[in-house]
Amino acid sequence: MADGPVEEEENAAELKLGKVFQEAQAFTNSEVALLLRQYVDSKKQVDPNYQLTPMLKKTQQYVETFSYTKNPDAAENIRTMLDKYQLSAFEIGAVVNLAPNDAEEAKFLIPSLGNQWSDEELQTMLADLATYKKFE
Amino acid sequence: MFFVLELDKEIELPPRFFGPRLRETLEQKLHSEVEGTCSGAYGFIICVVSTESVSKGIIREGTGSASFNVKYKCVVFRPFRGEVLDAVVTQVNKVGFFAEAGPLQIFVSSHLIPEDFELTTADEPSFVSADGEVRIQLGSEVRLRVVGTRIDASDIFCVGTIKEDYLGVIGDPQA
Repeated sequence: MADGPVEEEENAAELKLGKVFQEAQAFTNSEVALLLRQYVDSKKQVDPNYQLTPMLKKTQQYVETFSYTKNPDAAENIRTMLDKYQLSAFEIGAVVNLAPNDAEEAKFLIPSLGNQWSDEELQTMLADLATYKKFE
Repeated sequence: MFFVLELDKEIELPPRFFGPRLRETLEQKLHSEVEGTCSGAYGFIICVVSTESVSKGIIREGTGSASFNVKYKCVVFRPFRGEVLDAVVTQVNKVGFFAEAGPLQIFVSSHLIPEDFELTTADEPSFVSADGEVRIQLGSEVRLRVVGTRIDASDIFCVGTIKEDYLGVIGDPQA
């Protein structure tokens, strides 16, 4: 199946992401949505006929659909807020993307959270996050 | 999950580009060569966000072209086994359904759909829960866990499950 032994050991539930991604900067869907919007805008300014690659187009559609907030300030504040909880980059991404409703759900979706945090701490964190929830 | 990675690539340019717009040409070539590609190690390379550094060119013997080592930052999408993510259903058939998370294809076999879901082929094929309340059909938004990844040199494909607590349909097709 996998090419080498590295792939076999990957397991997001235990935060084993392999050599390349262990220290990499993970981004939430909302942050990627912002980044791509800027990217496409700047490309279009240079060349009005700029065509997005099919992959870029699909990705943009995806992150727009599944982003937690569309507000750039909120996206930034969420990151600052979560930084003080000292989660790993991957966990921050997962918490914001999946936005669990309670501690129980959070531990199910992102099992690594359960090793470090008590239910009360998780609950506070999720409540903090929920204050940024987009109003629709 | 999306990441920003710093990667590097050898870019080769023929001599006619050796001039004042060399760097611009290099960047253009970098964008067109890496964007939209997928590698097993780094995942889907969505777009290049910045060029960090360009090495001095090394002239290739025989051709006169020069090759440059360009370091760049890019947005990549890489799925991991065990990761939970949201996806949009793109196809439903009797063995299960396919969903897409951005550039990634995920297959959820009917064995990994909760037992009380039945396949109906009336109208359009969809999996419907026993009480008829929940429908998995084209365009449905589902939350799934990646249980397996097949990583080739140039493609990534995942198998997912929705047969766990807190997984399943999170949104109906958007009108």
